[in-house]
Order: sequence, then structure tokens, then C-alpha cells
Amino acid sequence: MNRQEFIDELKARLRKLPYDETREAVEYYEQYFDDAGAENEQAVIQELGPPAAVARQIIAGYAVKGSTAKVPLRESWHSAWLVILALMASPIAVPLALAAGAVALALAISLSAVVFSLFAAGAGAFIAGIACAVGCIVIAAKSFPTAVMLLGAALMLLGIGAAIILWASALSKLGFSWLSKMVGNYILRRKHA
Amino acid sequence: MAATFQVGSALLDACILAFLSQEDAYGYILTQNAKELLSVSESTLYPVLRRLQKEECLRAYDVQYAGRNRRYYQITSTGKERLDEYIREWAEYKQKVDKILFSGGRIE
Repeated sequence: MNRQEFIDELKARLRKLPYDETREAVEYYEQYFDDAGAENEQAVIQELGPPAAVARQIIAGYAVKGSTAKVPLRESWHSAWLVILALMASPIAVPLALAAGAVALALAISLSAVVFSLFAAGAGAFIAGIACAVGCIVIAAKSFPTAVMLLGAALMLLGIGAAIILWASALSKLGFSWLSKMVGNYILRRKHA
Repeated sequence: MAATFQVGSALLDACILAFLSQEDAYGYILTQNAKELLSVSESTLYPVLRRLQKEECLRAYDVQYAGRNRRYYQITSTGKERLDEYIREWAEYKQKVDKILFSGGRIE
């Protein structure tokens, strides 16, 4: 294998990553070869090992790093997906991978269920709030005290609904990035073991 | 350093930050240093650098060298804070391990 073949295979193995990540990694290794000098090309290829393994490290690293910073929800889903890819690409015992995958999947499902029910509760409170507001307007002409009470109830329910929804979305972000971080760390530990 | 003890990812982060707190460096040089002192493989470093960069502990800049780009890494103030934390924790950890290895864990 020569330098060009190494780079080409690395590029192909990284194509699942966002374009910028692939370009950054490929540039790094291009420069690495340049800095090592043409006379060391074969030695560098020997030392680096197969491009597939180099790519695996990059993908695992990318998946782990997404979780420590503030990441939008879509991106943490993205890194969860990459974790799965890295898991599949890793030379770890298949039963172990399956067990770990099952645990991660179970956690993801329960987390989704909790988040979903919170969203439902928030939406329920919101709808009740709107109903109270409508009731308040309808009854305003007949009974002023009832209208005031309904207005109060409407504001309270809307507030509670908004709070629950905000809280649920924060929880889901936190939960999913924590989960992908755990899975990512697990993969890295297995790889270094 | 002999490869008896494995360098974990926190320790590797700490060592890279420490190298870069001395001077800015590019990937190949950093790798050669890390390889010599810590016996990590040549392909270990890029993901670490990229992660530290994303965590804003490092920033990268390009310098023209021999008609091409060379990407240098520079430690940021966040990186320096992180390094100080690592140094404190390492000192504490080292003391504990020393106590066990050199005096069998006896508290005197």
C-alpha cells in the first residue's frame, strides 16, 4: 500500500461522517505524510496500521466528543447513530456487543417513554389551560367572579404546561447525550483493552 | 517509558495540553513526542486533538511551510484551566499511589 491508497481508503471509510470532519481528518493525515517526508512513507503506513482501524478511531472519537458540549437534539441522535456504526465496525466479541446494544436500546426506549409521557402531560395541561381561557371569555358576561377564577386557572395551567414541556426537552437532550457518551466510552474502553 | 502502565484518555489529554502549554505544535511533532514518552500508537492522537479542539481547549491555525499548509495547535485559556485541573488531580493521585507502592499503604 502506498500513501495515496492509504488516504483513499481512509476517505472511503469516513464517508459516513459530516463532510467537514472527513476533510479535516484527511488533511491531517496528508500533512502527517508530508511532515514525515517521502522517504518515511512506508514506515508511517506501517506505524499507522490499517486505514480501517484509523478510521474506526476517528469515528469513535467523533461520536464521544459530541456529548460533552451543548449539542442540539438532532446532533445527539446523529452521534447515537455513529456510535452504532462504530459498534458494528469494532472487532469486539459479538455477544458482548449484542448485550451492550440491548441494554443501550432498553435505556433509549425507556428514556423515550418518559420524555413522551412528559410531553403528553405538558400538552394536556396546555390544552386544559386553553379550555379554561375559552370558558372565561364565554362566561364573562354572566358571572364575573367565575370568569376571574377561570382566567387564573387558565394562566396557571398554561404556565405548568410550558414548564413541563421545557423540562422534558431539556431532559431528553441530557438523557440522550449521556446515553451516547456512555456507549461511546464503552466502545473506546473495549478497543483499548 | 515502558508500556507496563497504560495511558488512559484523561492522562493523554493532560499530556497533550502540557506539551502545548510549552509551545504551539503540529500533528507530526506532537505524535513523535507522545510516542516517545508515552508509547501510544501513531493513530491515537488525531481523535484526541480533534476532541480537544471541539471542547475549545485547543485552537488550530494554518502556517505556510514549504509551499503547503501546516496546521498548528495552540492551547486556549479553557485548555489551560483544564490542564491546571489535571495537574492538581494527578498530584493527588500520584501521592496516593506512591504511598501504597513505597510504604505498603501504612499511614504513619
